[in-house]
Amino acid sequence: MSAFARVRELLSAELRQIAPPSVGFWQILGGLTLFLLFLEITTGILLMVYYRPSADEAYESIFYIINDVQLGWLIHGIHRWGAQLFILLVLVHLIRVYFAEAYRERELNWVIGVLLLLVVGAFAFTGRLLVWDQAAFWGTDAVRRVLAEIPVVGRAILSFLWGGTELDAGALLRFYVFHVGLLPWVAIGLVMIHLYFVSRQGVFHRAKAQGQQSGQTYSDIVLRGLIFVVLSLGIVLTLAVIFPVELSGRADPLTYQSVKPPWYFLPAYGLLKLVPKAAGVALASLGVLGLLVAPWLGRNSWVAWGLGMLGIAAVALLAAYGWRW
Amino acid sequence: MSVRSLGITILLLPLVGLAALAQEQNFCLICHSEIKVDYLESTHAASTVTCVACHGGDPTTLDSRAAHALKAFFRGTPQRPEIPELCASCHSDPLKMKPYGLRTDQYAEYQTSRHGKLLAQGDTRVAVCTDCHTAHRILPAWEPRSSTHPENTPNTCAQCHQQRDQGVHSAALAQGNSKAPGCATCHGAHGAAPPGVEDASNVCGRCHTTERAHFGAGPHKKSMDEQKISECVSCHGNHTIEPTDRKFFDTVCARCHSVGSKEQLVGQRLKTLLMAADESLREATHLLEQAQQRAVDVSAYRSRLIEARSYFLQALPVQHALDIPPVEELTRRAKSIADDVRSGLHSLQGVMAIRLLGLTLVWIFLLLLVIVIYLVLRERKGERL
Repeated sequence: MSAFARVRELLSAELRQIAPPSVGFWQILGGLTLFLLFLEITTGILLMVYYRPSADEAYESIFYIINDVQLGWLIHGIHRWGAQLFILLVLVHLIRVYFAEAYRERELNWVIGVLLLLVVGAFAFTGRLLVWDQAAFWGTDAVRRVLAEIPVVGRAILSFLWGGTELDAGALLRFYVFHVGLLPWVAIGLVMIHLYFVSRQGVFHRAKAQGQQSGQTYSDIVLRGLIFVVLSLGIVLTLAVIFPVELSGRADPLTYQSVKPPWYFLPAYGLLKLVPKAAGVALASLGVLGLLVAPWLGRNSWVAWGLGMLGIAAVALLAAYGWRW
Repeated sequence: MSVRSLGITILLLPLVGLAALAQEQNFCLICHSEIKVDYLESTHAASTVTCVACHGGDPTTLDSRAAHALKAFFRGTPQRPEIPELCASCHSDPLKMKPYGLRTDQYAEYQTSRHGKLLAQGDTRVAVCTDCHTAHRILPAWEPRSSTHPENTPNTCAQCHQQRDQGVHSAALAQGNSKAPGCATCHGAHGAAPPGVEDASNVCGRCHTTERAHFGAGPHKKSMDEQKISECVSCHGNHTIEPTDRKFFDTVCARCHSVGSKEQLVGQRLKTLLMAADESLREATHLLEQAQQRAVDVSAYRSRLIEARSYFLQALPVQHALDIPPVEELTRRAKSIADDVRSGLHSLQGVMAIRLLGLTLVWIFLLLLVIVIYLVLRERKGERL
């Protein structure tokens, strides 16, 4: 039997299995994020055909893509809006898993999920600079200034990420390499491990203890998920058409522009405005560490719920503060 | 490294060694260390022209007396009147200058210059070679650090001349436009002299060729020549040339032509034509830039706007002939195209309408797909029951 036939048989066997009755929309969220990752990779490859990662040509190439390439504006728009929806769904998926306590007996997969969230953040951060417009340049430069103020490790981090202490052509190339050459492989690797654990440990469901059966198979769940995939594709397309991406002029290192970060970085922005920069970075790092060890912190359901609500409230308040500041 | 370049390197090695030896034996720099840095940076040091070439003396001894002895032809610091001739002893020699591809007529030009003439009359305050090129840090004019680099000439000339350019030319130079004229472009370098009344238009016309041609065809040329009025300078000035503005027609024309006169009305007509085209172009450009930022395909409008702008740019020099019909024709074309572009860009809702129609069709397809999946799911559920 060929390897392909073997994989097909295994997949069919998985899909023929009876799914628990409580598996529904919320369990499909994870699959939706997988689709959006695929959408981002596909549109990213198409953009790579015309994008040129040099300080002299990056902005012009994006300009060319959205103005001259046939449907280039749409591909670029899908990539940008798809990324926003991707981040949103990853966050909702994470919150759902946390409050459903679906991480119980699946602690390692939770850690992998949090690592995936960090990779998604890195995608968003590195991808933003590639446009090389004023907003991208000064937004990224603000992060550079924050990192430069971190004692001991700040400059080392800058040397690794920026390739120096200034935001220049070298940094742009490095961000491009991270965005298209490194992060996709890390993301694909983590997703595969994540899915392997889901397959091994099964989908978490509350009805498991009661042993109820609904009769629906996993292929039904996948079909139901396809409906949401189609709808999310429609939403991304609608956003890309109605709100096409606007550029803020070619990056000019001599003309400062104050830039608000995108919504997903607002909590970090608010934190850095509230406390000294080094302390802010330390607190944000502690927050990420807390997220990683959340399954062990919240062994008691009430404690887990309290910690979760506290975390969400803190993030929401910091985002609001960052937005208003 | 290829075999050929390796061979060339081996052949050149003895020459490099000789140059190094010549510098090593230049003991002058041991005592005169204050000029060592300047000299070693200079093109003379690179060409192994040592101190002796200008100052005489014996550079191979550390004995101060022997080094500065008359029998060693020690000349000391050359007197100002001697400097041009001293420099010319090499720089006017075609045999010596040939390897460097340098001109040999600078001294001859200098003698015809205002500087050279005054020096010949005994005025030692005028500029000699070292005032512009410096004595020891002599760099080629193309080198940005050179005192004679076009961007640095305003400062070099300002060492003696209080009047320096404060107009569009120096502003363009300061912005890094290396093609903008410096002092030497209009006044000359070695043959520096203020252009005469008759020559001013020729000097300006070296760059502003089209303006000069149209001016020559207009009524101003003859009357200005007869009255010995400087052609370009009388309207635009010389060292304080301001960016051309439509206000020119109100302020400058009024200096000679009374309000309501036939000539003044010609000026006002030109002003109206140019202003109307300019405003249309500006607004169209602004709208185009806005549309481009919003990822709207404006490539067709872009080329039309370039065409409009080229008509307008043609009208600018043509106005110097003070002949209304050609200016009217060019500005009419520019304005007409710019207005077309403006109205086209204003109605970009058309583009959005096409996009929304496409989106609606996609949604219809997607919803049909959802319905199909839903029906399949229902059928499977029915089979289970």
